Amino acid sequence: MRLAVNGRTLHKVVAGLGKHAVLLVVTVVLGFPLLWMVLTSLKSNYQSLHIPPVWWPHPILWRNYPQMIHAVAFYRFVLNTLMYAGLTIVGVCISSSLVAYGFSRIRWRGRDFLFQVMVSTMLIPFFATLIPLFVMYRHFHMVGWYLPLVVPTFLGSSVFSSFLLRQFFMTIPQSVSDAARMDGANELTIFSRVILRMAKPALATVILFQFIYCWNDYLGPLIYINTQTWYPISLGLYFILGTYTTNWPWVMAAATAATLPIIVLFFFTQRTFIAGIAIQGTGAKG
Amino acid sequence: MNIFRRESGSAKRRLTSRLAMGAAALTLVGALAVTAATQTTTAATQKRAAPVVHLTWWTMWSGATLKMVNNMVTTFNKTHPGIRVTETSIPSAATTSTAKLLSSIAAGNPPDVFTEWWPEIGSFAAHGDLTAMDPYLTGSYSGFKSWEYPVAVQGGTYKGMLWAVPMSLNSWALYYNKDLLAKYGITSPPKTLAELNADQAKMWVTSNGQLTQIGFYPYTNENGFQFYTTFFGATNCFNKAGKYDFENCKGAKAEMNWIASYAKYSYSQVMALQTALGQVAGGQTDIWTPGKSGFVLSGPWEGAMEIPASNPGMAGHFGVEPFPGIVGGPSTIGQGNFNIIPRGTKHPKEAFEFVAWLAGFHNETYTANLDRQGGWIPAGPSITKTKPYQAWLKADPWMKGFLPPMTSKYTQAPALTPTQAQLFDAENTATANVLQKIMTPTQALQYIDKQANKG
Amino acid sequence: MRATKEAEPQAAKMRRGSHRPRDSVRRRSWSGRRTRNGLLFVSPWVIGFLLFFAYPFFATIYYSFTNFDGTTAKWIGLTNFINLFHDPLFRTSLFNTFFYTVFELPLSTAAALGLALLLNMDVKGRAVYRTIFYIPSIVPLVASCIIFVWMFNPATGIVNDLLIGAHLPAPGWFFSIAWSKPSFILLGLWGVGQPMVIYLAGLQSIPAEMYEVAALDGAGPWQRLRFIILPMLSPVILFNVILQLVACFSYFTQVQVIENGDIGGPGTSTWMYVQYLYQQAFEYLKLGYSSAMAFFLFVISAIVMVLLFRSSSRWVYYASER
Repeated sequence: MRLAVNGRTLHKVVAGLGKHAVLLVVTVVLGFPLLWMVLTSLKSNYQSLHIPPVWWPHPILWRNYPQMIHAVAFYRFVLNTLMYAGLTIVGVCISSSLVAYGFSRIRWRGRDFLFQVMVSTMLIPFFATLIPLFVMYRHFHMVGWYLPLVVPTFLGSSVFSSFLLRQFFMTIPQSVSDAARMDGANELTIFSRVILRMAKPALATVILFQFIYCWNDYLGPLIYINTQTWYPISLGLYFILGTYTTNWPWVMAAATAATLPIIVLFFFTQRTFIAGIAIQGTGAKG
Repeated sequence: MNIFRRESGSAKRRLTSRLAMGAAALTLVGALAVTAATQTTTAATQKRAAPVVHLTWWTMWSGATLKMVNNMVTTFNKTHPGIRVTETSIPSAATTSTAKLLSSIAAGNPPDVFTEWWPEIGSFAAHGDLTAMDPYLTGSYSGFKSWEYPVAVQGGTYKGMLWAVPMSLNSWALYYNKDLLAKYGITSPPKTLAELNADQAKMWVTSNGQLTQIGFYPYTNENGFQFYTTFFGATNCFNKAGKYDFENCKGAKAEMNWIASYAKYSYSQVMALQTALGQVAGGQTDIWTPGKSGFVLSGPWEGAMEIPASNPGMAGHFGVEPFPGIVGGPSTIGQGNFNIIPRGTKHPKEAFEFVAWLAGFHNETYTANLDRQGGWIPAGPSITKTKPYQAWLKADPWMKGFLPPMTSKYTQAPALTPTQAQLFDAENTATANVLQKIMTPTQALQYIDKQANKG
Repeated sequence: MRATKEAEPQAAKMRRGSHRPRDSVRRRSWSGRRTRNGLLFVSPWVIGFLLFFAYPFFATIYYSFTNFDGTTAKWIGLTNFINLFHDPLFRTSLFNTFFYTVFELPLSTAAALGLALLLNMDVKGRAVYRTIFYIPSIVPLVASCIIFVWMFNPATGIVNDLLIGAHLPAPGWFFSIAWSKPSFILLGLWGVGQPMVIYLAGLQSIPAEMYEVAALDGAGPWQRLRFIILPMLSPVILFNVILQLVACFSYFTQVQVIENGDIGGPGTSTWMYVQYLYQQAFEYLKLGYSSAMAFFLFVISAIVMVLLFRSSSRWVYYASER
């Protein structure tokens, strides 16, 4: 009996070590370039381009960060991005969840065909339809600010979000909806009271990804926004890349500064969508 | 019963937090909206004060150059009370500014002035996307064309009309590293092409199988065939039917063979070294700036901006001389950053006024100071005779390598054609292929002709 | 009663759209109402589609039969398509893009899934691990390209330093004709954090009771994976695969940033389809030709997508469709 218990414990320990080993290797592989990015952000331009490569900056130029932040309208750009993200998150949460519900929790004729049509709208690259798209938005007097980027999100334009939510909604058994229907609830009630509550991880994922999408989106803002003061941070970063000279440490500092808020956001909110349900062998029942 | 539902307490908390976030977002929106509203009100009040023409100017400048450009706009607005220019910088690390420009022209709300890099101008002009400037060369502007460098006029003319005016011209000459020359016992910079080939051959250094230093390479900064054409008399090789004909052009053949003579060096190693030294994501630092190359073909910004920014220790250790071509005298390619007026702008007359001012017309002294900061050659020779410019020439004697070729008879601008962009890309690809031994010089020239003559 | 039914290892008893007579009778009598409800819920998208997508999409298809240059369009029938098929650069860009897709898609799916499974386990400090694995996918694109190009620089980069030190062959990475596409594939794999997080969220949706019952049945970790985790994750796998497909087919910005003017990379090895499309459209003003390219890409992607959805009835398990 005791031997058997020890065997299982040993197995667990080895498995645990194995997991950690793999995780550490992956951490090194994925994290090393990040380390390089941060270290380079603290070097001088000369050191960043030096051959053989300089690892540790000496002196450590902490001032790269405040200098870089003052070189561009950093705070304003961040505020713009937050606004952009905030507006589209509202739009996406409202419209994409409704659309996802319609494509998943109700069985109706033509649903799957229409769903595939929706997904296929992702298959044409942005640049391909740019000219008529732009002409159309101009016709609607929407060009110049964020309108072409925000208004469509209230009309289900984020196929990514609708698709993701639809897949999640479909992991909830039909019996849940059936039970609520038998209790006399209409679809809207089922949608808001039952399904939405269950799809919290999915919704949180969608919100996070929409935020990050807006944070890094530079194509849309580049094409539609005509006033520099309204640029989001993604465009602001490009100002650091000079026309004739480039301050590479500033580029890395800008990238680090742009990534940091998201890292913080992710680290503290991951519990919302990947809250730990402990999955290990639930069975020391022997 | 419902095994999936989480505890209602946490659900409430989450709902509250989401509402809070939503409220915060809306407050932000509100704050920004108020800011925008106040700005528009101020602008509107100013507008009502005096009838002012509002011009929008889109550029692709960034970094330190952008600051200069912002100062230019402020100065113009101060000295021209009837016109108000707003500059928007369009970042283009992935060359997307043309997409934005084209869409806005197609939709009918283009900017009034746009700064474009030269290969696109021909295509735009040929497709009717630009406003010709000739109607505005009247009155005080009637002497404008003769005020410009001939090569600047040539570089902006299509079918006899003027479509583009340079904001800055680029003159290309040979930079040499004095220390490296001394190290390899070269007493004076090369005066002929053969001397250049021989001198630079001494400077290639490989250690541990890796390239660490080169002499010269005709494709650094991805500046290939098209940048050396004036040195071989191969800039505008057309046949009698008006089609590009580099294959039968004597100068082009000589140039491509010369490029092919550098195929003996490892293309991938040079590209790798160049990227390690900053040639990525639009970066312009080349192998020569950190002192790893004996020679490089580059422009005044190298000495005026790049060296102070990337390798200040190089100051005083380099020189510039006209590239030793075979045409019989100094020459350079006339290209640069041109200002164009898109089709459909509402104020072309004022737009041209701004464009001429930017070029330095009747604005010489101010422009001269800017040129010095930016390492620019101006659009007109009279600027170089101003005091600030002369002072710059005195302070930086290496600048003398750039000016004489500007007025040389061998200096040419590539003619504007509808397929100028295709030509530029084809010349680049041809150079890369010859250097990688994928094409022979003849095949490369045929390739250029084929691509550039495609409808 | 119902709870036990739910807790059966359902995945082991996947049913594919069983039709019971009672269901179809009910469906017929309610179908009008359900269609109305369904359409109501998806109406935001339908409106958005009609307002913002239909015109640009059909305009682009129309342009592909013209010589559109941004301002004027003259009908030229199939000329663009004929020229396309005789265009060697078109074939090259298609090949390069397919090559990238064929390797990147399965590799990134396996990597994202594997990492998600690893990080779903009760490992100490997994919040930190998750964050580190996720960060690369949110670093601004230009910066990540620069970092990678430096690290993989054959002359000065750390990767080749290590390879040479270990007496392994040190390829030319982004500067070698053979290794340039694999280098971009590696760059893509570095950003595997996004699909990984989606898989993690999906893993959380798997009710704990299923694992308990599986343990009762004596299922080991491998069987758990095969009969519970993968089927329950299959909707999300389909999602990620389609999203990745779209991203791979339209891959080009990273290539442009790293090439830095050396169009097509070494040889024409990294000349990508959408890159060619962009060049034709906005550098050469050949918008008719680029629209034809866009149309062609759309048709091919749509075929792949439809095939994927068709096949999904075989391997994707939707709990709501039982």
